[in-house]
Amino acid sequence: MSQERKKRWVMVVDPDKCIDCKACDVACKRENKIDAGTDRQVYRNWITSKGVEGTFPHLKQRFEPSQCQHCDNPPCVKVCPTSASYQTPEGLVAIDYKRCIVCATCILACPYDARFKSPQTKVIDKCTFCAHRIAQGKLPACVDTCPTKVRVFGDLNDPDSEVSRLLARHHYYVLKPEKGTKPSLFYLS
Amino acid sequence: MKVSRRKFLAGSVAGLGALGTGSAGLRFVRKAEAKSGAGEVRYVNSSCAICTSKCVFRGQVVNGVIQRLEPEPDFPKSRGMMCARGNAGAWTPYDPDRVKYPMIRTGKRGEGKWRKATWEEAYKYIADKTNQVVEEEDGHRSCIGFASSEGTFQEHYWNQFREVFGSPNSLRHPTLCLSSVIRGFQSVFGTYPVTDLKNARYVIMAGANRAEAIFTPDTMDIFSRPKGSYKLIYLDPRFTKTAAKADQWLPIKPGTDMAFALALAHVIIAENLYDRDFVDNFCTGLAELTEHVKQYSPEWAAGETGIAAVDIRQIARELATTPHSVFYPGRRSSWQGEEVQTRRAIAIVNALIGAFDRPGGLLPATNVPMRSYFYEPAWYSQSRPRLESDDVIFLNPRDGSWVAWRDRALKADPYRIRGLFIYKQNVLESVPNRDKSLELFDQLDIIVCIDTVMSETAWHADVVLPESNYLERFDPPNAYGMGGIEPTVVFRQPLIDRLYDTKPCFEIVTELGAYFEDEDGFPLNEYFEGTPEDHARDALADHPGAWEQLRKKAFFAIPKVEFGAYRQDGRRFNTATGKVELYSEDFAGRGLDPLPVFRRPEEPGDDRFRFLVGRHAIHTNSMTAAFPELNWHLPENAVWLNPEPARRLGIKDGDTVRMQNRSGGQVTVKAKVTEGIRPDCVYYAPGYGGISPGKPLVYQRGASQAAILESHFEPISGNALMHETIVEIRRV
Repeated sequence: MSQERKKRWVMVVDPDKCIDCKACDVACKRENKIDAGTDRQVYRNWITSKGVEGTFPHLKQRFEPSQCQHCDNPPCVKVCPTSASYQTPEGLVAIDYKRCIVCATCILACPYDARFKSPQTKVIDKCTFCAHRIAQGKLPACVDTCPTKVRVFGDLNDPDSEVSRLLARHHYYVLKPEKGTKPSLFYLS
Repeated sequence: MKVSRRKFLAGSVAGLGALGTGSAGLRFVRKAEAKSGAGEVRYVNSSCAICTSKCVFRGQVVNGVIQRLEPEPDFPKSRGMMCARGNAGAWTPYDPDRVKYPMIRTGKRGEGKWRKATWEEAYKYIADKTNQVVEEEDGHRSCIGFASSEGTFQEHYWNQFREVFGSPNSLRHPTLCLSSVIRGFQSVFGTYPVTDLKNARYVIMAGANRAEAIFTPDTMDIFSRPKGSYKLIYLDPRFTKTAAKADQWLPIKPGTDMAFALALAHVIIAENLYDRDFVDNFCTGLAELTEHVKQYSPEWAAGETGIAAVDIRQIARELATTPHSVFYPGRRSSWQGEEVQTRRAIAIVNALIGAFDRPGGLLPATNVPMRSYFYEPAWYSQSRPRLESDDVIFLNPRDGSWVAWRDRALKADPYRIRGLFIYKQNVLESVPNRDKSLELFDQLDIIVCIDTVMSETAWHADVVLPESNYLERFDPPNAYGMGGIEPTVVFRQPLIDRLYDTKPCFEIVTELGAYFEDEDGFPLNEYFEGTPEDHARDALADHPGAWEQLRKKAFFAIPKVEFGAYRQDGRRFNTATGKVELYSEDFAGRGLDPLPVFRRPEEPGDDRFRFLVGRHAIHTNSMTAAFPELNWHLPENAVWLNPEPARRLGIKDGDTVRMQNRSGGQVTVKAKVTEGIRPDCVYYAPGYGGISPGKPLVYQRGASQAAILESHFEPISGNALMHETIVEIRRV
């Protein structure tokens, strides 16, 4: 029996399709039992926009959905003094919440501002790519709920997966390549 | 602008101490969770009630508590999505401010003093008051008005109650919404069609802000396509998120969409670009239209709309020559005075380019055929016509015309209205001119409100009857708004047991009916037979297996509609002539313009602004702004103002300003100075500035649209005119 090929979970994001409707944020918070209350610092994913650019009537606005980049070279893992932050074999950056001492070094180390302290668990939290859903064969909540299917999730090690095909066919970029983090989120350009 | 969490942390000595101090909006969910038993995950399919799209979800119930409403991937109409509002709906059964039992007012109206009542007490209170005023009105039951809202799936029981009670005065949502676009398109095509945006290659949208006014399947069908696979031309005085997605945004002068459409028709006819096959075979009135639009050149339209003639000409050519092009009907609450004729002009452009019954065009909505719900009618010897029957040419007797009706009721013209029975509609937030609505409330002897939450309207009622939440309720199948190219019906079944002493509408009207009699002395509850489940089985009796599929999936679909059925020789359209009517004899016969005639809208005047309404993707009108997970994204609304007038008026971003309309309506609201709006317009989002403490997150926070909108309607369809409000604005 052949051994199952190792997965490499990535996300391909098409910002052109994003209508900034916030479905990804609400679904994520629901799925992961995050109650932000009125705290503006509490979110696992977000939509970056510089707002309306230009002068009336020559205007444009861009939306760029984002979250933990699940870097292949993650600075947060390197700085974690208790090894609470770690990488899984499938390329996920995960947190062992029991080991987190809330030193917050990782919040400062992450170039993407992906981490925060959870008001519920009182330890550091961030996007997990909904690892609990992946384990059940489901898509991450943000991917699943999106009205315009901005995010595509899949296995980069599978050449027939939609993510592999998208990246083969399109130009794409990653966020802050100069940081050398090798993110798992790829943005179509 | 968001403060980055890293900067926030680095800049704060308190650091983590300051993190995680948010309020506990979902505390009550967790309380419910703690009470429930052993670990168990269940999935129940049902249908969303947070807007009228009625998307089907897979409800995840963990330990008896609703955790998620995930999209049902097989439900065709929503294309496997669940928007922010739909997701946030999972909170609503656990809203600590829900109406949990019947309440009878003990203080003054709106004072917030209530006593808890049994259902029997509440019914008796309602019946005593109502029967007394009906007696005082010599048995005229028309003195009671009945308001209701779309999307509940039980509204037909409410209509039944009104009918057997004996009042013609029914007020539904369409005249605060889409009556005018329905009327405009019906007058041309004999139907209010759906649009095949999935296959459209070239789309003009005027005001229909589909990126924010999420509507299934249209929003998904256009924006989920890769850029470059379609071209979108978008007309709106405001730079909405649809504008951000459009290939070309044209900040048209409000109220001039008709001029734009007529100029398109002018170019398409003058340059012989119209679809000769479709127009010759299926349309009538080309000669009259040709003569009529000669006056409406792009150069003329440029002066009216503010859109360059060269752009109009190019768009007309592209629209007429790109295959699968369409001028989207739109469905924004009305613009201005010539609303029906504007929609007519848009429909005429679609007829000229043959954008009908072909991929990427318009198509009559096909519905899943269902057996209709039958009930015995009640007959009354004392009857009077609807209050506003002389005000509106095409008055739908079941919908009414809200603004016209309210303004007549205020003057007791031609007769007095003594009471208002309201089912879910939030009259005080949805009907323009809240002051007038409150004034009417003051005149009434009895106000009854059925709702799940303490809406502004419930807060000002005499009796509040709590309806079960949509996640606790069984609702019979609903096809309204579910027709289209992929027709479906949806229904609801409970995810959880009722948490409080609430009832669904059917139970409420049946039980309340026992306290009223018809003219022959029969109690009204005898008109209500069976249960919603019986009605559900009956409705789908012609579709074997449909009931079982509903129980499992919460929707039932019939095969996709094929194009071409209307393009057969001899096929009649549902109009007087059987043709697509570019020229309307029907309108001419009623003294209306048979072809759309442009009339210039009023200029706001110096330092006055036209107030615009419009959506945000987290808002369903006034309903959702107080949902904690949605409110997080926009805790308070602010009035959009262009930097040029802002400078002139000395208003800076974040300043508090006071706005006043021409009828004395005033609001105080923060200013958002933005390039994203025309200098002659202002806008703020709906749902804020509430007057019910039962919605704490929006109570007296921001400004209400109903408070600033003036009272206008247009007489053809009866639609409220939401863009006829002119305001002054100054810094406080």
